[in-house]
This record gives sequence, structure tokens and C-alpha cells, in this order.
Amino acid sequence: MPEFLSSTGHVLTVIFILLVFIYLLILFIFIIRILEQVRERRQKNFIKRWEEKIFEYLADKGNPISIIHLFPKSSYKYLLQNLRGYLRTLKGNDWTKLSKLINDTKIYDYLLSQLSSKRKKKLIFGAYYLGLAKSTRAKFILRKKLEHKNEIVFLSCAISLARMNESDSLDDILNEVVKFKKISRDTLLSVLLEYDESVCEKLFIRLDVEKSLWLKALIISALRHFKYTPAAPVILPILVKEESIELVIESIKYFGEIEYLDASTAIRFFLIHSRPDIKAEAIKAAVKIGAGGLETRIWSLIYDTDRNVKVTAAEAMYGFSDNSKDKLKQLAYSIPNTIESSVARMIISEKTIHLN
Amino acid sequence: MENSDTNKPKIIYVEDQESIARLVNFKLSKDGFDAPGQGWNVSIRGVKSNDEVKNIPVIMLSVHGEEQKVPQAFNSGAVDYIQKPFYTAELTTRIRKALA
Repeated sequence: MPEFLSSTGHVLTVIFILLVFIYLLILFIFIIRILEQVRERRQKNFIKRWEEKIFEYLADKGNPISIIHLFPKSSYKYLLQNLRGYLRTLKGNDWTKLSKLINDTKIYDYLLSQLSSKRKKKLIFGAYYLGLAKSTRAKFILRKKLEHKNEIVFLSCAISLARMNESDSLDDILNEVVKFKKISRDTLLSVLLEYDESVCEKLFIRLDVEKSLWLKALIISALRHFKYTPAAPVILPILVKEESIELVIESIKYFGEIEYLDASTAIRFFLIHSRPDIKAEAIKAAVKIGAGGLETRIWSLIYDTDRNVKVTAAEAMYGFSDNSKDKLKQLAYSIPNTIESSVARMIISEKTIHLN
Repeated sequence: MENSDTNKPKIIYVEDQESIARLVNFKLSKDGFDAPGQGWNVSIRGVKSNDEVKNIPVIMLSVHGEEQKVPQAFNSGAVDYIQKPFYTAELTTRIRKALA
């Protein structure tokens, strides 16, 4: 056979395979679309049929067991998806009634069975809804599941325990989290912030004995969000010790947030630190604390080599006093045009827009 | 906003989740309001800049409770601000106060 005919045959084969592949891909997308539409229709039908019953129940008609008895087990997933929105929107008596639909009925057993599943997806589903309904009866199982090797399962259980405000589980969460390298401090912080402020006492105790600098910074960050002032005398030596950059930054932020005047001397020292990120945080904290006599020092930081420090210092000067604001305006329109004057103009225009 | 047909104050609840809107409308109806359905997604500034509707009191409901967000809502023209999650009894009380 001539060579060109053989190569044409190869090309045709490739085109044929590609066409079959494209056809199968279109078919696959089409099937997925149909399945999705069926699922949506089922959900809409379900909502149409049962939503009113839930509303009537909220209007003091019926008890949770008799309401849930009307739902087939196959519809629990849809029911829970709807309840999720309600539970996140309402509080008080409405919330309590809605949570009883989960806690006092067969749905609780259903969620426990999900939590006992070997499949991660089911486990996460169970943990999420038990947490949302604050099903404290499930706390021991959830605590046990913190030992799971999957980070999403761990986080789901930790969030649920935090939503239940189970502060006894705090140490378990902090002990177990260190095995996950991919969990960021911000992620774990969002877990801790699901607790209410009563967790601060436990966090404070833990801070005192904690060896990990990463966890120490996390705890200080959480205490800052809760504005927990009793920890200040313990955090001040941590700041001065400068064991890690994270710890210094979190400690400075903490003192700024709680406006701790006793930290002003230490903060003053960090205004001349070699690291720009630390300097910038020290400026913000100094302004919040209202540490006197720092105006000149902060003004000089507008001329720092780092742009972030310049901007933070200019922003601080804008809010410091009328005098400092006028000085900033003079700089903004001074000649010749410099980086400092453009930073001053930027801050003034930003603040003016914000005020309007 | 008074509805002449029913003499019940008419409430337009704007919400991005339909199921929540239906639930809140149901609660408002039970509490003596005419809450016909879900409103369109509009900004407060949009309402306040329209002469036909600018006198309608707007109550803002939001998950955001930060220090900056609340004054922003009032500056935009809201008469009240409620943070989610909320008590439905509190919502109806504040609506009555806004309409008084």
C-alpha cells in the first residue's frame, strides 16, 4: 500500500476517535443536566408540599415528632437543606422549635448514622447538621471524630463542637490540629470564633502552657476578636520576648484592639523595628491606644522606605488630630511632587470619599 | 406602607434566598402584615433617590454586624438595622415602630 494512503488512514482513525470522544462528552453533559433538573424538580416539589407544614409548626401547631413523621426518610436531605437557611436566619423561640425538628426526632438518629459512616461526605454532612442544631448529645462522638485523619472531617467536627459551645473540647481541637499541615491559622481561627466569649477562659489557660508558637499566635488572635482583656498582663511579656514574627504581630494587634495603655512603651519600641509589617501594625496599635507623644515619630514613618509603612503612617496622621491632618494636607499639595505627597493625597481622597 | 385593600401595612421583604423570604413573609402575615411576596433586589440608595418610593421606611437585615456596616446602612437611608440571625418578634416590633 502506498505510504500516503497509510498516513491518511491514521488521520481518519484519529478523527473518528475524536468524534466519538466528543459525542460521548456531549452525551455525558446531557445526562448530568437531566439528572440535575430531576433533582431540582424533586426538591421544588418537596418544598411545595412540606414548607407549609413547617410554617404551621412554627405557628404553634403540632409537635416535632408528628411533623417529622410526615416526611419520608428519603426526603430528610432536602428537609435539612431547607432547615439550614431557617436555622441560620432566626433565633429565639423559632430557632428552638426548628432545632427540635432535628434533636427530638428520627432525624437525630439519621444524622448519627451519617456521622458513623465510613464515607467522608456522609460524615461531614452529619457533623454539620448536628452542629447547626447544637445537638449536644452527639458531642462525645464528635470529639472522637476529631481524631479522623481527614482534615475536612476534623474541621466539620471542630466547627460543630464550637457551635455547641463545647469548651471542654477546645484542648482536643488544639491537640489534634497540629497533625494537619494544610490547615491555616485563619481557618482554625474561624473555628474558634464559632464559640461564644466564654471560651476565652479556656484559651487563656491554654496560652499559659502552650509550647507551639503557631498555636500561641492563634490563641492571641482569638482573644483579640473576643476583646478579652484579662490576658493582657500575660501577653505583654510574650510580645517583649519576640519569639516569632507571627506572635509579635498578633500581640501588637491584640493590644491595639483592647486599647491597652500599659503596652504603649512596648509598642513605641516596635515603631522602630526592622520589619515593615511589624512597624505598620505598631502604628495602627499606637493610634488605637492613643499613646501620647508619638505624633512626631509616626510622622517620620511617612518617610519610611516601605510603602505600606508610609500609607499606614499617613492614615494614622489623618486621624490623629486636626493639627496632624492639616500637616498631611500641606504635604499632599507640596512641591515638588514626591512619593510621600502622593501617598498623602491618596489617603486624603480615600477618607473624603469614605466620609461622603 | 398602608395597603388600602386590606388596611394591613404592606411589607416588601427583599431576600436573596427564596425559602427564607417565604418563611419571613409567613411570620409577618401571622403578625398582621400584608407580606405578599419576595421583593426585588434593590439598593437603599436606589429607593431613596426615587421620588415615588423614597418615603417608604427601609429596615436593613444583614449578617454583617461590623462597626462600619451599621452606620453605612443608616447613612444610606435605612431607618433601622437588624443583624441576622434575628427574633421574628423583634422584626415585627421594629417594623411597627418604623411605621408609627
